[in-house]
Amino acid sequence: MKDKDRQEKIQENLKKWREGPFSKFQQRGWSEAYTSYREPVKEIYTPLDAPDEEYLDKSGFPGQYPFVRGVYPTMYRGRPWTMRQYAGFASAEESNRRYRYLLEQGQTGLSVAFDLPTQIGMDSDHPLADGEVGKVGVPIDSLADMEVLFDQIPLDKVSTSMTINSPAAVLLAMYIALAEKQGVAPEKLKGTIQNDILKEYFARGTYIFPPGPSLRLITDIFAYCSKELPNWNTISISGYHIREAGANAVQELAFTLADGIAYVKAALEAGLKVDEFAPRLSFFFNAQMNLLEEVAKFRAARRLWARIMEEKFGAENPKSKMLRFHTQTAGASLTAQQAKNNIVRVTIQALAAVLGGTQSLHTNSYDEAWALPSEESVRIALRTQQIIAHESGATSTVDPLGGSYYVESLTDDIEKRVEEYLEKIEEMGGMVKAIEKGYVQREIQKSAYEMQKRIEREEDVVVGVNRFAHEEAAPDDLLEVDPEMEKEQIKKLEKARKNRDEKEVKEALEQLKKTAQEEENLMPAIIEAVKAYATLGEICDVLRSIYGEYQAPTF
Amino acid sequence: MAQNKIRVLIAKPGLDGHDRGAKVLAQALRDAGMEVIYTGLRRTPDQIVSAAIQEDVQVVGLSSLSGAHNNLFQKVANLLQEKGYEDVLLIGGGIIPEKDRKQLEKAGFDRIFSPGTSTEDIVEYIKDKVNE
Amino acid sequence: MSKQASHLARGIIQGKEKALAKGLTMVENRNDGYRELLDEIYSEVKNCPIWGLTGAPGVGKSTITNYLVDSLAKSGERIGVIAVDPTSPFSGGAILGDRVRMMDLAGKEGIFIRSMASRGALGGLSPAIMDAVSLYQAFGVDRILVETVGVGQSETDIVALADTVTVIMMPGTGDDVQTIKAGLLEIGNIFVVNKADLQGAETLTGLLQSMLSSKNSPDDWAPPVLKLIASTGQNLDKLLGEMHRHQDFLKKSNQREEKEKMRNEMALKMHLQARFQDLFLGPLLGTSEWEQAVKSIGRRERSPAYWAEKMITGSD
Ligand code: B12
Ligand SMILES: Nc1nc2c(ncn2[C@@H]2O[C@H](COP(=O)(O)OP(=O)(O)OP(=O)(O)O)[C@@H](O)[C@H]2O)c(=O)[nH]1
Ligand SMILES: [Mg+2]
Repeated sequence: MKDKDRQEKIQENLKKWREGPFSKFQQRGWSEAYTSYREPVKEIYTPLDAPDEEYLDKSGFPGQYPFVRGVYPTMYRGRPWTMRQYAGFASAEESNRRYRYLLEQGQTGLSVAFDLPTQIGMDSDHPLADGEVGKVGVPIDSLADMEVLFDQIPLDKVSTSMTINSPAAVLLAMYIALAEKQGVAPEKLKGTIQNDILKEYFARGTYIFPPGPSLRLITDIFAYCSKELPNWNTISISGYHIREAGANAVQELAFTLADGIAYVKAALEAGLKVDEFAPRLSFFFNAQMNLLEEVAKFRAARRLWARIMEEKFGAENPKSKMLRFHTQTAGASLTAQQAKNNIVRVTIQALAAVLGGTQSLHTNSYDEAWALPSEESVRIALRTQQIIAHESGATSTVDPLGGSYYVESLTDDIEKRVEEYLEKIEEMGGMVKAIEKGYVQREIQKSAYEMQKRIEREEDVVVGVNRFAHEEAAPDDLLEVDPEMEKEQIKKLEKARKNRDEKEVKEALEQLKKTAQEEENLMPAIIEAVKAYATLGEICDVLRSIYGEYQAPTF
Repeated sequence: MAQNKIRVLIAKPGLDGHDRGAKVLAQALRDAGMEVIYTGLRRTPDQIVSAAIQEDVQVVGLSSLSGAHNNLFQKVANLLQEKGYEDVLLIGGGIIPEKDRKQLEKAGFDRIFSPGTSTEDIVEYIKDKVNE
Repeated sequence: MSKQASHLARGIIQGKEKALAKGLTMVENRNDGYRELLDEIYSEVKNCPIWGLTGAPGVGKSTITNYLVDSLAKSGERIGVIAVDPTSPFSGGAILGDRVRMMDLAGKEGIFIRSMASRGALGGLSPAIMDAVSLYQAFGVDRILVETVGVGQSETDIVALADTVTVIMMPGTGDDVQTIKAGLLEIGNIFVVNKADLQGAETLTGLLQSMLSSKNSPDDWAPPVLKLIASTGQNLDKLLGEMHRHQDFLKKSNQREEKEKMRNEMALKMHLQARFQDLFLGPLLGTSEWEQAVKSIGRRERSPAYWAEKMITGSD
C-alpha cells in the first residue's frame, strides 16, 4: 500500500472507532485532560500524528542533527548521567563536609548553593545581610572561604557546578585561583557556572547590575574561557527557575531559548565567533509531574536549539548545535503535607528527565517544602536516581519513547508553540526588551495565578493538599542552620581582611575599576583581585559604582 | 456614600527572591476587591513600616521563604508597635518552621500561613478580621 | 460634628503624618465626617505648585517621580506624592505598583507618598484625589507630584488638577503616532521621551517636535521636548529645570490664578456631581419604577432617554 492510501485507511478506521466503540464508552465516564499549557489532549494518537516519512528529517539518530533523540550516540549505555545534588549551607566547613558525604555516597559531581548575600554580591557584614548569612547556602566572602569549601576535594577529579549569576565572574575567578593553589592547570577544570542573568530579572531575583553591563560580564567569561578553560561550561541557560516561578512547559522552553538567543547575539556583537563559544553553552531544565509532556519538552528543546544555531546563527561545529542540559525535579510540585509522598513525585519526575535524555540530574528531597534537605532526605533523593540508573531499565536504549505517537505529536506541538513565542519576542526587539517591558513577567504571572486557582477549584488534584488529605506531623530531623554561624562568618571575614596586603588589594581594585570603564576583558583583573583576597563585596561594589543597579519593573 | 476598600500591603523583607507566592496572593486579594500595595523585593523593615503607615493599610502581609523570617518579621512587628500601629492586621507566610510560627504568633503576628493554603482562605480570613 | 474628623483635622494641620494618612483614607472612602474634615482644614490650605506626570503604562513615570522627589527633598522641600493606578473593572480591587519604584524614599524625612486607586472615576482622577491635594496642602508640603496613568480621559483631568503637566512617552511602543494623536499634545506643558537608550528615541523626539511646532500654542509657552534615560538619571536635572521654568512662566504670566480657579471649579463640580448621585440617582436605583424602566427599555418600548426624563420630571 502507498503511504497515502495507508493514511486514508487509518483515518477511516479512526473515524469508525471514534463514532462507534469510543463514543459508546465515553458516555459511561470521561474526563477532560490538558497539557500544562492548557491544550486539550486527544483521546488517542495514531500514525497520523507522527507519520513515518518525517522520521529522517525530524528525528534522525542520536548524536546527529537535529539531536531529538539525544546528543550522544550511546547515551546512558556509554555513561550514566552525572548525579549532582545541589547543596550548601551554614559555612564553608559544613558544606565541605556535606560534599564529601555526597561523594562517598556515590554522587558524581558537585553543585554549590551559595547564600543570598553571596549571590547578590554582598559581604557577610553588609547591613542587609543581617540574618541571611549561611541560611540557604554557603557564604563566600573571599578566596579564604573557597579554600575551606574545597578542602581535600581535588579540582582536577571532580566537576563542579556553581549556581551563581550576577557575580559569576568573581566566583569563577576564585575557583581558578584555588586550582592554581592546588596545582591544577585551568584547562583541566570541569564544571559549570550558571551565569544566566536574564532569568534572574524575571524569575529568580538575584540580580545586581542592569542588563547591558551584565551581558558584558557574561561575554567576557565566554571569551576568557574559550581560551583558558576549554572544558568549562560557561553558562547554564536556565528554564528551571522560570518553570518554578509558575510558567508552563512551553513558556519554560520559549523563555529559556529566547535567553539563549540573547546571549549568542551578545557574544557575536562582542566579536566572538559562534563556533568558538557555542559548544560550551549548556542548559538547565525542570522536570515536572506530567511525565510524557516533559519527555516531549526535552526532545523539542534539542531540535529547536539545533535549528536555531544552524539556521539563525550559521553554526557549523555540531557541538554548537547540541543542547546539553542539567535537570532538577520540580520543587514547586512538592508539598508540605504528607511529605513522604514527595519521594514518589520525585521518582516520576526523575524518570522523565532520564527518558528525556538529561546529562545530569538533581533530585529534590522529600522535606523540600520544610527546610533545606537533611542528610537522610538527600540520601533518599540520591538513591532514587541510582535506582532509576541501575534497576529500572529506562537506560537500556536511547530515547525509548521516540516513536510513541503521543510523545512525537507533543514534541511537534511544543516546538510549534515555542516558535510562536520566539517570533513574538523577536518582534518586541528581543528578550531584554521583552523583560524590560514586563511582558515575560506578566505571562508567567498569568500562568502561576491560573495554576493556583485551578488547585483551589480542585480542577487540578494535588494529593494530600486538595484531595486525600489527613493531618500529619512535620517530618522530623529537619535541617536547621545555627544562627551563631553568621557571627563566625563575620569573624572569618575580618580575619581574612586582616591577613591580606591592603596595598595590593587597593591596586587590584583600582585596576578593576579602570578595566570596567574600558573595553578590555574583565576576567584577568577580577582574578588578580581575588588572589589579593579582595572580598566579593568589594569587587561587586567597584562594579556597582560604574554600572549602577538594576530596578525591576513593577507588576 | 461610603466606599470602603480593604487596603493591604504585601511586602518581601530581606534578600529573599521567592515572589511567586506573594504575587499570586496579591492578585487574589485584588480579585477579591482589595487594594494591594506590593513592595517588590529586598525591602528593609523600616521601608515596609513607613509604607504601611503612609498608605494607611489595614493589613500588613510579609512573605519570606529563605529562612530570615525570625529576624525580619520580628523587626517589622516591633516597629509597628513602636509607631503605634499595633491595631493593623499583621500576617505572614512562606517557609516558616512550626516553632518559629508559634513564636511569631506570640510576638505580634495575627497569623502565619504555610504552603498549600488556599488564597480563598486567606481572603476570607482578612475579610473576617478587618470587619470584626 | 464628628469627633474623629476634628481630631484628624487638628493632627493634619499640626503636620502629623499619621493624621494625614488616616485623613486621606477618610476622604478617599467618603467615610462619615469627611466633609467636616475637609471643611475644617480648608482655611489652612496653602497653595503650592502641583506637578502632574502622565503617560502610558510602563513609560517610566514612577522612576522619574522618584528622582524628582529625591532631589527636591534634598534641597529641603517637603513633598507630597499621589500615585494613581487603575482599579480593576471586574473586581473593584487594584494593585498599586508605583511604590515599588519609590521604596528608597520610604521613611525619608519630608516625603509623603500615597498610592490611590482610580476607583472607577471616569477621567482617571476621582474627586477624592482633589481632596487629597487639599489635605496635603493643609498638612504643609512645598510641592505635590501626581502620577496618573495616561489612559482613557485622564489627560483632561490632569490639566484641571496640575499647574504643570509633563507628558511622558517612550520609543518602540509601535503606536507612537497614535498616542500622540490621542490628545496628549493639547495637554502637555513639557514632553519627555524617556528610555532614550532604546532604539527609536530620536525618531519619536523629531516627530513630537514637528507636531508641536505645527500647532500654534495659545500662550507664549512653547512646550519643550526632552530626551531622558530615567533609569540612569540622564537629563533628569534638565527636566527638573524645565518644570521650574514653567512654574516661573505661570507666575509671570499670571496664569497661576487662572489654574487655581479652574481647580476650584472642578472640585466644586465633582462634589456636586457626587452629591447629585447620592441624592437623586441613589434613591432611584432598584425602585419599582426603575425595574419597570429597565424592562421597558429591554422590550424596546421606550428609550433610556425617555425614562430618564420621566423619572426626573415625572411627566412624559
Ligand atoms: C519555587 C521555588 C523557587 C523558585 C522561586 C521562583 C519565584 N520567582 O518565586 C526558584 C527556583 C527561583 C527558587 C530559588 C531558590 N530557592 Co526556592 N523554592 C521554591 C519552592 C519549590 C516553592 C515555593 C513556591 O513558590 N511555592 C508556590 C507558592 C504559591 O507558595 P508559597 O510561596 O509557599 O506561598 C503560599 C503560602 O506559603 C502562603 N504565603 C506565602 N507568602 C505569604 C504572605 C502572606 C502575607 C500570606 C498571608 C501568606 C503567604 O500563601 C501562599 C499560597 O498558599 C520552595 C519549596 C516549596 N515546595 O515550598 C523552595 C524553597 C523556598 N527554596 C529554597 C532555596 C534555598 C532557594 C535558593 C535560596 C537556593 C539557593 N541557594 O540558590 C534560591 C534563591 C532564590 C532567591 N532569589 O531568593 C528553600 C528555602 C529553605 C529554607 N527557608 O530554609 C526551599 C524551602 C526549598 C528547599 N527545601 O531547599 N526557589
Ligand atoms: N531602558 C530603560 N528603562 C527604563 C527607563 N526608565 C525607566 N525604565 C524602566 O521601565 C520600567 C517601568 O518604569 P516605571 O517607572 O515603573 O513606569 P511607570 O510609567 O511608572 O509605569 P506604570 O505606573 O505601571 O504605568 C522599569 O523597569 C524601569 O526600570 C529608561 O530610561 N530606560
Ligand atoms: Mg508607575
